[in-house]
Amino acid sequence: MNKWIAVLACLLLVTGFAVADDEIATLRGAAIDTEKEPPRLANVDNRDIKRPRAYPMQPPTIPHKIRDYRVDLNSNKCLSCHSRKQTGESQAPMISVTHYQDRDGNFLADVSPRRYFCEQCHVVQTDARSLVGNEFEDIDSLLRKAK
Amino acid sequence: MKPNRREFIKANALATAAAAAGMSAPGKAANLVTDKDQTRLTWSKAPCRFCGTGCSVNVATRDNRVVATHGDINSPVNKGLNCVKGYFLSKIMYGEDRLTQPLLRKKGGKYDKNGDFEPVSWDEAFDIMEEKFKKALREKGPEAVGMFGSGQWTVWEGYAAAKLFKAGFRSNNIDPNARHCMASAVGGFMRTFGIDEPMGCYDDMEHADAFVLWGSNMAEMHPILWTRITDRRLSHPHVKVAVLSTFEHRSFELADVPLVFTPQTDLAILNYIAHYIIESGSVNEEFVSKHVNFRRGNDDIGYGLRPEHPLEQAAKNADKAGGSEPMSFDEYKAYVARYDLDYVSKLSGVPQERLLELARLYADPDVKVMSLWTMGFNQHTRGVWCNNLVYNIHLLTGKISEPGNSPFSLTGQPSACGTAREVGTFSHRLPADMVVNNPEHRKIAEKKWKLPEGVIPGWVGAHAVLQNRKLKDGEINAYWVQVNNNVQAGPNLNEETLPGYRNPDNFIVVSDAYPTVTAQAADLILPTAMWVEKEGAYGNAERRTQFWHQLVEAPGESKSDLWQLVEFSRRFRTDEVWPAEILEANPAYRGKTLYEVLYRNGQVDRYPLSDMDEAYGNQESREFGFYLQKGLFEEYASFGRGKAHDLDDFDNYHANRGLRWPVVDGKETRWRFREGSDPYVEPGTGWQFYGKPDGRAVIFALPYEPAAESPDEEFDLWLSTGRVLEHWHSGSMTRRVPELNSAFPNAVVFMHPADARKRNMRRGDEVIVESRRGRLRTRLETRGRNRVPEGLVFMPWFDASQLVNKLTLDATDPLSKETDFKKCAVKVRKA
Amino acid sequence: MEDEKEICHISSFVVRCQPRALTRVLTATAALRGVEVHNSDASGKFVALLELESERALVETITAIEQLPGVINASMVYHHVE
Repeated sequence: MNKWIAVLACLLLVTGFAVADDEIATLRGAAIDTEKEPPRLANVDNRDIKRPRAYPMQPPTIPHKIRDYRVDLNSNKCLSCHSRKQTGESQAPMISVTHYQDRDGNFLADVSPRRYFCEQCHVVQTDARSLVGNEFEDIDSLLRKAK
Repeated sequence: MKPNRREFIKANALATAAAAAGMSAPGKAANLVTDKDQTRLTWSKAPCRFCGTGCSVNVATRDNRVVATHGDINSPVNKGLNCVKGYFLSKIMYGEDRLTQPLLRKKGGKYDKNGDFEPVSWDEAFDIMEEKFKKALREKGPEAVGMFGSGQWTVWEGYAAAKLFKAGFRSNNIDPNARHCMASAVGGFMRTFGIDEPMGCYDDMEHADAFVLWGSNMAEMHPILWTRITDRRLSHPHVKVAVLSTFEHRSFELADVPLVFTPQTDLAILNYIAHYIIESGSVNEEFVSKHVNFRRGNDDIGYGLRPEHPLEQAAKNADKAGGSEPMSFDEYKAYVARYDLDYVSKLSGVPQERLLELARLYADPDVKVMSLWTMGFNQHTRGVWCNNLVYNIHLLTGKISEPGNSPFSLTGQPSACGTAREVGTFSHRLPADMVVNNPEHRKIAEKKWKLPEGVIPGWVGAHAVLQNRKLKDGEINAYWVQVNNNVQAGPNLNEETLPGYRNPDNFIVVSDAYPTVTAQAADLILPTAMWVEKEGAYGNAERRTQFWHQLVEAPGESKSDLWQLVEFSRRFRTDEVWPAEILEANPAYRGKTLYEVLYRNGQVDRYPLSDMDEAYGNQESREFGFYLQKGLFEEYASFGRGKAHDLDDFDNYHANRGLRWPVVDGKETRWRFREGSDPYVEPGTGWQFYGKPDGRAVIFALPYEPAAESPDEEFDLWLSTGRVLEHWHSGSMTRRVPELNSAFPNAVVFMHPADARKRNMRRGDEVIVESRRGRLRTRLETRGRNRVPEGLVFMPWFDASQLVNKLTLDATDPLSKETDFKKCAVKVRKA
Repeated sequence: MEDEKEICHISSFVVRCQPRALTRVLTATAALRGVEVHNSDASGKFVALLELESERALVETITAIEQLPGVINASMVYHHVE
């Protein structure tokens, strides 16, 4: 499918071929008044393998399932492994040092409450296939090209 | 071991040994670039491209590419944080299917409504567009052309578009997609205060003792503001958070007082709180006697459907929905008395003690309360009423316009405030809260624009939903869509949106960076520059205006919306679009192009290119030969200066992280209407609601009325639509970011497990969701982040392959014309 | 697929030898099976990168390097088995 879209894009943009309207919207790929079979529910990638980041400031994605992880007023399941205190026991990566800073950059004794809801920045990844490729290039590949 | 892993380990082995020996690693094994010419990145500031929070980000560029982004530690809004969408901004421009050439439907080398899309030049694109717009104007007049814009337009794009349509084409048929989003909030502000936008600001979040969410899932939709509330709640144990919604979502994780209510009964709960405040003797009598008037609003106002719809026929006040008459406090007291605890608890399904707990937060004079709302209130057939009713509560208690006491209307889009509202791109508005059907306001605008009197028409143009109806009915024939995806967003797709786009009498132009479903339904697609590919300005929910520079060039032949608008204006002469009598009375305007009278008018073109920061590009200004953005901004700003909408000088905004208007003598305003913090409030008054002639805000008596469509025997479930954290609106940007797409790849319908069991369905089943207007196929979800009650299903709308707007009803608030996307009736069965 | 199951030892050493023996030692080391040499300097230091199938082969090889005339010592910096 990805290849098909790439081919389509090439046809359209390079050689100037015509594209029918039911093929142009890449995230739909069907006429507006039709209904395709919806993809199956995706499975969360649970392999626990770290994924490279696009740039150093990117929050790492979560490499495991988090189903039924409770994060609320009373408890935070994520911190039970990833907080500084717990990493000896859990061997999980410690949350970044920035998470111990308040709004004004002061370091706190414990995790800053503004960082409490982990899933605002960290998300799981699934086995769903990408509908469209992304041509973002990280700084390393740009530097390599420049050489 | 795989070869690349082997190489990686060898490189590590080598680098470690070399470092141990005090030797630098050889080229092949080097794993650290230390050459400063290579590692140096150019960082610039820009506001985030997504929601109305208005976080500032730092953007790194290198070789005309964005290579990294992160939260700006110098921004008072987000102080270094972003949500997951914001952290992936770097990738939004690089989807491999970016549009890079205009595409026109053609058959046999000629435009054909039923043809396939073929690449054409800008000249050919504008030729056919000019022909179609001129034909519509010539044959039917200004009412036959229209534009649908956006709260994601930059300030100057919205301003240039409003000028082109309202003054150039003399058509008020221009509306932003903010109509789907913030129109009810605007209606609420104008009705209660006479002036738009929140009186408070985000600083309230560090001062409040209680937060009440009325139909807002901030944890997902305004995550960075949610971090500020979380910070306050968890570091100050006395603070309470109440969350109201028709289903449990992520914001409930922080709730001390969770309230799930039956759809539409928020109106009754709001009135119950007012009743409790009065009954418990908690009215701030001094405040109320000095600063408030009471009025009874018209009820039974209909549902904004087509006039022939039975519901409109039956409504007593469908044609005078905005009417009201004065009443006394005692009359108001009697009016809300019927909303007692017993009645409202039964109606809403919320236990009495929860309602009491909520009411006490508002009534207690020692608790500073911040109320927050977004689409739960605004996308409501009584959206303006909801806004009015929540202000009632704050006005009764005097909890307004001071740190922590703040009724706060959150904004959906990055510039719904800055562009759609302040610039006045709505079909009834002009800049600085003025309206087209007020002759005085039109005169002011014509003078500011240096245009002849009578150019701006006095008729209120078609709003979003009406535009679609008029397209379907063949009344609007030439139509231009910029920065939005209304075929995915607009309600009742099958019956009221798609027919208009595909009506053979109509020519539809869509400007977008990506091939959306709206582009799919169009006749001409214009490739468009986005975000930091152009110089821009956004205004966020707390009145903060923020600028950014063009940091990279747009791909291929893509051009900004601004360039498209201004360039297109060159193709029209006043003689073709203005009536003869105006030109006879003002012969100097004869034979001029719209470009000359709207943009080369001696004001917009007065700033030379040398005013630009030479470190940055500026495609439009270089092409037109003057600093276009600055000229447009300064002309626009002249509307608000001295009128309580004061903006700072253009250049200052490029240097700072934004300022909150009114900016007077270089100082921003954090709390409006309050003496000491708002320069427009006269000394000795305490508070002054100066949007109203007598300086008093209005408490409105308004009732609970049922929804336009409720579940019945056949369509037995409520459907609420909405969003998810990982995707922005229709997903045209975020679904092209691999990490965001993978995190939440497709829409699902959330249902209570008991409802699923009753229908013999299981999680993951393919199901058909059907309303009276259409059906779609999706997958069933019975767990996860949204826990819906029995009798209600929720489905997000980001997924172009599952268009949930096939189901929604085009009922709107008769006052704001905003669609209720939160309530209609559906049935769900196994596919 | 068989390749992937094969055990592989990757290891790096810093080797020190008498400066005047450097060229000779480098040539001799590079001639050994599974060994690459990198980063030498005039003080007589260089890095040896070993990629071998077993611990035994590893020990034998490093012993052979240590026994070359002019070599003072070889110390292991990095070892990875997979």
